[in-house]
Amino acid sequence: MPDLDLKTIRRRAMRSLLEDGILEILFGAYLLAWGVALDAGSRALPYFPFGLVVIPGLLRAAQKRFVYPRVGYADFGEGDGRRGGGRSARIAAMLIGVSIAALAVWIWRAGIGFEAWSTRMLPVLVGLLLAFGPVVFAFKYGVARWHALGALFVAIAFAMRYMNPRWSYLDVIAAQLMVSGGMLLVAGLALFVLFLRRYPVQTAEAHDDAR
Amino acid sequence: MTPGDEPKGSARPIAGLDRIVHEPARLMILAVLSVVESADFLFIVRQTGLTRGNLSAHMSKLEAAGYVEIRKEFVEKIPRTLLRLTPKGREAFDEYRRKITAALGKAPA
Repeated sequence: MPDLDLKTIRRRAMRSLLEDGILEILFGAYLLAWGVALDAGSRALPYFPFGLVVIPGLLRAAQKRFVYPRVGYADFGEGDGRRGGGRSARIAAMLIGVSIAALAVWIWRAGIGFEAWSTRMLPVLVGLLLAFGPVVFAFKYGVARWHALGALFVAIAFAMRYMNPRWSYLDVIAAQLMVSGGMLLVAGLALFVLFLRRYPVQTAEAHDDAR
Repeated sequence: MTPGDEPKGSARPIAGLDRIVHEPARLMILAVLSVVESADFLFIVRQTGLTRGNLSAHMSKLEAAGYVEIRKEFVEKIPRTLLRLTPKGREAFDEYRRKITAALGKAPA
């Protein structure tokens, strides 16, 4: 009998609280709103990065309302199980960071002109930055669909290079955010509906000792 | 032969395993509780696949042994009945892991 693999037990337990799609809904809506605001030249644009501060609170509130009554509650603290996934996450983060840095250096050395690199290369940079979070979390929590999400963000970024050549770089990035956010939002909603159907709300007694 | 004198690879240490921990359902419960700070009953039911009645019976034994504590607490203003390993329970679980690995981990196939 091998030693109990507590790292895997912990990752599976954490993953069981990430099946609901709520994180995808929140980030999808956030990216979509940012893209729309960018496209419309909204005055709220400079404040959008601060929206990231709001998302964790919204996530907790949504989990309290929809997730814990269905699948139970657990506090994971800072246990040992994170270490293995944490190392992979750091490697993924370093690889993405190096890719971004290499791209930035190449752009600077290539001297292809601001307009050319801003419409062709800036969306790729944005795509890599968007992929950063999902890939790091995919390694950390073992949620496979987030690897696919990171790849999708990069694919969308490369596809944006072939958009209307008359578009400015801001139009391209706005479209990129709207497409990425929209797809993420739809995927999140689908996951959420599946989650609600699979896990009905449990009675109050189900959360307590049956004695 | 005194304890500690057994030949290498002897199965004798298995007889000394903590029988509170050694039961499969309780081992599952302790394994899940060892990777969280605390969890409610429903979470443990889902992670272990045990029925509520079965889990309750095993929790009673673990609580009686002092390995698990059950407390009603407020978590973000919502009352929850939370289960957590006691220091004694964590020590018993770690000791069990050491003994079972020592007894079987290097056993020939």
